[in-house]
Amino acid sequence: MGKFGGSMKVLMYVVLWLFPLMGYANTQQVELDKLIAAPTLTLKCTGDEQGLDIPLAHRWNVKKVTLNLHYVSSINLITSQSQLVVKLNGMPIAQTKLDALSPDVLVQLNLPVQYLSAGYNRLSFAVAQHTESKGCEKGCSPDMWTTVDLKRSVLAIDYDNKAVPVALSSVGTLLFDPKVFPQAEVHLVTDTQDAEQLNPLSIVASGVAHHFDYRQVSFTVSSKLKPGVDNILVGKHAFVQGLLGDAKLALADHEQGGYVSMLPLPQAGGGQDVGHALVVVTGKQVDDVKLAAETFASMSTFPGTSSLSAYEFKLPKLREYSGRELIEPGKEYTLKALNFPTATFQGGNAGSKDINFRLPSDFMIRPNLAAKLTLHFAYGAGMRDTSAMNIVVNGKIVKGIHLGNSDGASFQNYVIEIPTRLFQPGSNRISFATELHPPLKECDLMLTGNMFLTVFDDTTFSFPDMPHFVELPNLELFMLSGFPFTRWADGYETKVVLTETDDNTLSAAMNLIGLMTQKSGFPLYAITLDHALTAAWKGDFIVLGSPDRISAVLGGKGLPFTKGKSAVPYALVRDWAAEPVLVSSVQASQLGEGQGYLMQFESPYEAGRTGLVFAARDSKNLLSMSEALLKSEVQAQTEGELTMLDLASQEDKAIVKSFKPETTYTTGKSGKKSFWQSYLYTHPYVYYGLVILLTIGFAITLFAVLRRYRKKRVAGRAV
Amino acid sequence: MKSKALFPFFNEDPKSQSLSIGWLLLGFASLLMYLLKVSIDVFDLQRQLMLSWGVFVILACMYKWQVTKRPPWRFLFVLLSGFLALRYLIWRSTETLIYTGPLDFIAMTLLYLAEVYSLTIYMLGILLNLWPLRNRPLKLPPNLEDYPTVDVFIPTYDESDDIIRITTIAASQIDYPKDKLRIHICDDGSTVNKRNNPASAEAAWARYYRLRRLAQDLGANYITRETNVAAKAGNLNHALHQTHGELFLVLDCDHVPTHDILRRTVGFFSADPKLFLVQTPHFFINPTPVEKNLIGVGNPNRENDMFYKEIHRSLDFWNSSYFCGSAALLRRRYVMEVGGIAGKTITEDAETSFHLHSLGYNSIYLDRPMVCGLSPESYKDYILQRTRWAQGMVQLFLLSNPLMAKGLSFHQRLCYFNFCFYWFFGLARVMFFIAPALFLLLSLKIYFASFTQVISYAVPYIFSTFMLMDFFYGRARQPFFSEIYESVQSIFLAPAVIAVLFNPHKPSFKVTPKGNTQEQDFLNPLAAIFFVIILVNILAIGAGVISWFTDPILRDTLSVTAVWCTYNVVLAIISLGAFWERKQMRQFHRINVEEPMKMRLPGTETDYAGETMDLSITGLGFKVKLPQAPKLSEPVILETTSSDGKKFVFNAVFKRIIERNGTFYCGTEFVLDKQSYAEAVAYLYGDSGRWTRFWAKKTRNEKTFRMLGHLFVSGIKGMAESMGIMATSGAQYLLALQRKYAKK
Repeated sequence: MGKFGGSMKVLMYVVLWLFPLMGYANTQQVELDKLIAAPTLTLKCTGDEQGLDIPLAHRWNVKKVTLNLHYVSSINLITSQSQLVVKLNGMPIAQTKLDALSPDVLVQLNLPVQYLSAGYNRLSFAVAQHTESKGCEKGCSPDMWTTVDLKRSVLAIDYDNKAVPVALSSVGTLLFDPKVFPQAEVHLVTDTQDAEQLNPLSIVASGVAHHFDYRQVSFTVSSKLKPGVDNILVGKHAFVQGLLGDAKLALADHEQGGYVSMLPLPQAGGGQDVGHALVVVTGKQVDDVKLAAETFASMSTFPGTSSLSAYEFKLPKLREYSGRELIEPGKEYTLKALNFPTATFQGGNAGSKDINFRLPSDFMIRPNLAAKLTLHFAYGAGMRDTSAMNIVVNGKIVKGIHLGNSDGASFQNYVIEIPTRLFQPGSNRISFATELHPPLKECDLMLTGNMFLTVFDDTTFSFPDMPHFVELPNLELFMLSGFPFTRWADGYETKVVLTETDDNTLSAAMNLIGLMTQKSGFPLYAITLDHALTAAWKGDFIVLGSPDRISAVLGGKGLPFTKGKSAVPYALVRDWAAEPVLVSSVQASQLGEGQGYLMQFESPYEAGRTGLVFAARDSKNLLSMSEALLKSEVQAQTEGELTMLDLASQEDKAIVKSFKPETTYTTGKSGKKSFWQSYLYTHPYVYYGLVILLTIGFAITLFAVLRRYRKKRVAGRAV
Repeated sequence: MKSKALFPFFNEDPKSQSLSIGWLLLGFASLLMYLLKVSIDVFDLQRQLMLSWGVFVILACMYKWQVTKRPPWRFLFVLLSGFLALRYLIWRSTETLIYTGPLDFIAMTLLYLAEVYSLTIYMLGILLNLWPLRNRPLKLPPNLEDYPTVDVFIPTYDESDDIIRITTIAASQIDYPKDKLRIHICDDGSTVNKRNNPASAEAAWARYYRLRRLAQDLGANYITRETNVAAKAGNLNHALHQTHGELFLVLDCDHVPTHDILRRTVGFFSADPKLFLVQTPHFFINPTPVEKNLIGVGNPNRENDMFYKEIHRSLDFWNSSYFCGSAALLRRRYVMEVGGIAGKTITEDAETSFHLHSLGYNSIYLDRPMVCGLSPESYKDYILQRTRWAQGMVQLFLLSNPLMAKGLSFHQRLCYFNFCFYWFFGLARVMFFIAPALFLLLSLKIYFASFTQVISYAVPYIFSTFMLMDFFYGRARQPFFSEIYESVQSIFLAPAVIAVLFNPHKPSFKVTPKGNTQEQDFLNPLAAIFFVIILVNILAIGAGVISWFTDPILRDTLSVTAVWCTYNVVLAIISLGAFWERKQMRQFHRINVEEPMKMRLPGTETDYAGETMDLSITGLGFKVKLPQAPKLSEPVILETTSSDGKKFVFNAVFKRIIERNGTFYCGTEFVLDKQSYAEAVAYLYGDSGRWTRFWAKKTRNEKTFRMLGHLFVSGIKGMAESMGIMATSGAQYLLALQRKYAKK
């Protein structure tokens, strides 16, 4: 092949990539590793099958799906007896020999669209692998493998947008669908000069983000409609009617309360974009708009009408520390409730399954308690007694359950007490990893039908209560769960302060609110937006803007890159083992294009409360920064007290620098804290010194008392 | 004036000063408690480790620093130790008690209560030992005619005539105006009831005549009574009603007094009209069973040294020194005020003190040994004695409730509560022996703590307790020996104490046998229970090893409990080693003392200066350089001098002569008649200066670990021999069975 071969390969790639782009309205391309968060799938033994789910949005009218599959197989496989089968929702759609002479294969497959449906579609890869044609073969010899390179395997989906039904039921299914990928975009239209609209707007943005679940969604805000994306119009009747009138649309009669309506999106030159929607959230008074916004944020697939009038909205009594995947201490959850349906592990490479959940971010984990996992499970007969199920908590094996009964067994209430020290505040994972082995003798045919283990979803899990106490600043917790702003799931006691009134700043704020919503899993009904912050504010707050404007809002607080002199940290990495050494440079400088930062600190107005600053050079950069914050790779690097972002220095990725805090503070349950407790925690040497000083003082005072007493006793008198 | 108003601490009024200091102490204590709470509530483990081990390091540095033995540094040391203990208690109480099931709960609660008990005793020990009173100045009555009249009571029950004779002779030699001193042999072994009982009549009548004659010969008064009701208390009360001295000295009949016992104690009664008691130490010359096991290995302190050398001095500081049944001088008037020696409990001595302290009377402890007695020779006797003490003090605890007793000061209440409550240690110790096995063998969840928490809270606390105990009692007891003494007693005291809890009035007084002999070495059968403890803990360790592999999740807990089990095994083996009964052939014990002496052969004029090696009432061992070897059975004249300069001359004969490098090591036997026997008693027992030196010599030495090692090896040997015996017996039984069935 040589050079020519290499060039041909590149050319083939180009063709493969360009081909699907021709002829369709929309094409989405995605590397498979984005769909499963793993770089490869390795298929082992004589027979194995693994797969991933392809999300298809309800609003897509899929025309063509092409899979450019890249896989590598063992060169020891016998080509005539080894094959790879690609299945779509269980139906074999393609098969190929695993050729030992060309083990590194790139193949293009067209996935038949008739087997696809909106939602998740299972794409699986099954192999039959053999290394011996005569005589006996080991069922799982190490040279029986085929690896699918997910990073280099690309799925291209060609689709048109379906016409959006003019019904509010579309809000819960079609419009804000988490299966849209790689990301979603929504435009919010409001009277940006009317500060009263900010709170309903934030509720709407939060509701949209909540509908999108985990899917990245970015917002733009302006006072005009934006073509090509779904628009949500939020405002009082007068503003809404004015805007609709321009588009020759009319708002239905509506006397009181909130009003939510679904309309086709008008196009600039007249006509309608049926592929996108215009949702109207309005009311006569601002309270009515808020009522409509709350209703909109909570809507599911009902109602089926194009509009609704809302008269009242009641939230259930919220508890602190509730939200997406959050475990409530002391409560017993079934696995079903933890999004883990009854799972059967089968075959020689049965793999593992996880339960993911979160603990409150400010949990102070006591190491001597135990979480309780009460397992209900069964396993098949005829397995070798080396079979086992391992319980893994956050990557650490905590218990191996021996599946040693050759007749199979069924267990109820198999209790495993897991020390709480293995858990952490925030995200946690419990995995069931199985090793199912057949009782094979040499030359036995490997039959895997009876090799199964089922974990029933009525298995229960409970976690004991813990005290709430956490050391801040810690931006990692913000990125993990929106903490501390989502201590109350609805954002109660949190204020977002905008230092500018322009569209970009507002858009950046909506992105931040959307981000927090998706982290906590609950619409932020109670978050408040404002343009100013006073000392009377006793809750947590977020301030967005340029460093100088933020500093002014915070009464002249020293922030990096403000006018005049300011302290800017730099990290000097010493070696692998040591923490980066921070140096602080006092300088007169400003943020550049594509630069910004997040900074967390204790509220100057209330001990134990948190302030978060989101700063960029100007509002345009602020919006870019907010969009960057939505990316998982940026979130993963955000930690400590200060995270600085640079989007301009490298074209393809953001540079993220995080700095650990020099001074810390603490916060407890409900954001309350004792001043002394916090001070002594953050100044441990003062604590140790106090212990010694008080003990010395005690000893000297005791001495003074007992010396007089002793004199009397030595004289033989009673005291 | 202004500053005085602002700071009443500087006010000259003592009452307001005390109040201010009280508030200051309360303030310090409250702030320290707050700091403790902060650390437990919010400190992470790293900070916890820093705190606990930091305090421990400070303690360890102060521990070796001599100045910390004295206040105020001493207070700093004990307060820091208390800080660690209190920190452990709060953490243990707030973080580690979790309900997981009824059986777990019961076991967890029992262990927790055992720990709370230990901590309470520990904290009370800290309070008690803040500032022991040492070396009280001597007080003498100003004029001879002011000397009060004194009755000396020698209560006896079944002791040998020799023991009674020696004590009575020594009592008659007490340095006190003869017209003001009366000695009484209070015989409970020949009561009318006993003499009329056909089963005991012969022996009782014989004893009656012998002791009456003995009393008459020695110038003492013989007292007996109708019945033995109320045991020793009844005996003494009967004697009190027969006599009239202002003061009375109680001497157990094996407690031989020195001649200065009254001269050094009577003066305190003149100085303090409200004084009811001067207690002096019980000093023993014979080795305890544990000591006998260590002869030739080391020089351990006597078991009661800790009480008389340290604890009683501390009790004295708090005006809580109490009557210990003997070697004590009491004021008759006050004792009669409470109806005589109390008899509601079987520890009549402590109970009497309790009542007198409640009436506001005072006591003093004089830390100079002025009686020489015999401690129990065997474990059986030792356990018998301790069981009586334990049951008696628990009776006092239940029947009189020291904490709520009227008339006692606050610190006296705590002191009495402490030495009553102390006797529950058997129950706690048994719990500590079985607790880790409950987890390892039965999977009962009894202690909810992670390994790092144990390292952070429990380990520094445990280490600091060892250090503090050594800090307080190091001069009187080697490290770890308290563990042995408590372990040895615990298994036997636990059921006895439980019995009292169910029926506080049931226990009866049992006399501790003294002066018994033992013809051969053997492992006391009482040790059998320690086999069980060792077996259970070894099985638990085995179970822990299995769990190590099957339950890796529990490895933290397993390692802690396995270490605990190992400690229990080692402690039980050492306790087993201490259970060897060594042979005791001598009835009169030799005392090893080094004092100058002279010897002369009869018919010669040359005195040879030598040095005593050992003494007893029957003879004297010494070393001397002589120009030529003496002959066995050759008579010799020995001249010795007591601490206060009094000369003694004895006729003796050589019984043993060994020559090494020109020095002759001689053993002699006194040739005694009635007069010289009294002289021998005066020489041997009359010198409190010798006992003081002897007492002081028993201080901690460097052979602690050697002694512990020896006991451990003895324990292993005892186990091996016992198992051999069991195996042999088992085999014999099986053979017998086989033969029996073979015949059939």
